[in-house]
Amino acid sequence: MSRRVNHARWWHHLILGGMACVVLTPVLLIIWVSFGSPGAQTGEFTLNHWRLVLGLGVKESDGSWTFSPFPALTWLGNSVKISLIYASLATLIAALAAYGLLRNQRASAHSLANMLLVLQFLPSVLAIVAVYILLRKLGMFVPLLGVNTHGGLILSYLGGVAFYIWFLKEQIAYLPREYEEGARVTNASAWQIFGHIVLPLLAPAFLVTFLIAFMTSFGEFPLASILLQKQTQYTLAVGAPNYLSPQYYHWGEFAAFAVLSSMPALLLLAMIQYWLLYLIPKWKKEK
Amino acid sequence: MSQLVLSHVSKSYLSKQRPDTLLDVNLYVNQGECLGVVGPSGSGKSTLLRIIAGLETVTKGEVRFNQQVMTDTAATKRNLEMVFQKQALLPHMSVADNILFGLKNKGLKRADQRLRLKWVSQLFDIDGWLTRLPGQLSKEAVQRCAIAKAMAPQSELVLFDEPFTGLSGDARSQLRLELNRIQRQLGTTFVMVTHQYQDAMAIADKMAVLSHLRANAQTNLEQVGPPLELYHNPRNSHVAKIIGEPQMCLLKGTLVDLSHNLTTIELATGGTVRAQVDTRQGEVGNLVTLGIRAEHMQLANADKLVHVTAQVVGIDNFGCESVVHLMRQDQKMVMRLAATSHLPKVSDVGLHFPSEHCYLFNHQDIAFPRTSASLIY
Repeated sequence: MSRRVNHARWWHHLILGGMACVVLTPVLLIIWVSFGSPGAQTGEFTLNHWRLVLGLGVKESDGSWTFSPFPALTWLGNSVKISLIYASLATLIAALAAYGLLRNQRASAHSLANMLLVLQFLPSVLAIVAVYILLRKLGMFVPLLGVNTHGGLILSYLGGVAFYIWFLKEQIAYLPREYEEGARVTNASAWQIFGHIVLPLLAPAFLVTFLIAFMTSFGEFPLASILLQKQTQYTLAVGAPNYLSPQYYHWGEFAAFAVLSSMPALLLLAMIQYWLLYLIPKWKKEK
Repeated sequence: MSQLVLSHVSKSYLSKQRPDTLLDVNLYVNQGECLGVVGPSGSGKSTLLRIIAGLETVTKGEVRFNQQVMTDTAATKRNLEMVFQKQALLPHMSVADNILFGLKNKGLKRADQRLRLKWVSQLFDIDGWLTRLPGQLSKEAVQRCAIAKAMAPQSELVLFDEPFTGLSGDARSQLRLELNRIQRQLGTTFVMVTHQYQDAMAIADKMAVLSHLRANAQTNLEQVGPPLELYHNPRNSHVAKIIGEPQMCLLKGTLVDLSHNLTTIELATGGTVRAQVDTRQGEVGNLVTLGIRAEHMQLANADKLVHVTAQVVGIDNFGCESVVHLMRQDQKMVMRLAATSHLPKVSDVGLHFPSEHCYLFNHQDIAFPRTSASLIY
């Protein structure tokens, strides 16, 4: 029996290989296109698309230099900045709210938590116009949070934090109460309990929340396209379609940009996976 | 002057899932005393401890500590320590960090924290474990460290919620012994909840027995007193059953003769027993319950009259003693025999109930005073 567990059968390999093909083919294709689709009828290997996207410029045959009209690196930077800030804020707010909701004994807390779940069923895209109007008005008083600012975009993203609250609430519910009660008896404040007990013990859940929040905001298009109107403020999702204007399709640069913009998310995923697999279970495994 | 006073403490949960309720519990603990609270699970003994700790509110009543009312004081402000049954240490911190975490919360200076850690680790002999995570230690070591953690801040009051559960016999009695010694040495006040009466008997100066709340009962605190007092003079059959292992055997019967210090009872299952109890409150014909502990039953022989006959169902032979399981009609009985040589070879045995070891409870389950008890202990 143990042998069967250790060695996958031939059809396991077939299924997993097939799934890998389906997932990896588009990725490989895009990487291929970003290098000028070498081997195709009209294509040959070139680094020009990458040079343009990275803002380095390409030397033409007549000796002049061509630069990309789009600030691709700025867009990427904007996206990373917005997503990092949003993910941190969302995780923090969700963690505090979930903890508060769960440890509050009043009946209202329970119904509020249930309401959060119901709220998730309303498609948020339908609220775009309302969000735009609200942010325009808010911008009159707090310019940092108005339309056409990254602050405003982050604020509107934070409206979707309810899902994370609900997700974390379920995680915190599994934490034995003795840990917190023990700390309360030893005069620990609520912040100490949260910082020294809940946070480290639920670090995996918080990291996963952070990752999901980062991913959703990183590729978010509808809100960003409505709220950001200056080219230098674009996020990558808003900026990328510019390469495919009706006049000319810069497929090569679009592909290079796509590969480049997947890097921060990949890096983050790798880091979080490393934390989850190697750092956190140290005390869990030995239990 | 009593240090910890619980007066008329009541707690009821509105939900039906939590039947453990406290009703009108009055207790006091003097400084440096150890109170052991025993009772079946669900009798509210943990709730009582949590009320003292401030983790649970009372429905009615008052908790006073050092003459100060603490009923509504938050758990974080009570200045006491508590040892939990499970998850007593934080799993992601080393033992030393666990102890220091508690000390830091008390507002001790860093140097003092270190000194206190050193002191307590020597006191409990846990030096070798300080750098380990709780998950790397045995259950016994974790409990020992948890107790050390609770003793480190030198609070006046330390609460124990089933501190020895899950420990093997030797480890248990060793830890009990040490805890007892350290408590005497430091003069700390202990309140310990346990469902094993032996833990309380070994450490406690005073024992309180809780039971499930019965219909029409005024309180579910059955009896409070020194451990031996509870063993020898239980107020009712509930106390008698909780204290003692195997449980006291209870047999229904009728009073037939009330000679002034030797009462004769006719058992419902047949047989006549004499008990040294004061039955001035009783009358011939009253329904009573006779109680006798497993360690006091004897096999009848030429010198010892047969009071009851019973069938042997099984024998647990432990070498040092044997536990004989008996059956009389539908009534189960358990007898402990000290020596292995006298094991009954036959299926039916005659039992002798020494009159000085018989307990008697009236129809309202109140014990008649035992005239012999004072002579025994």
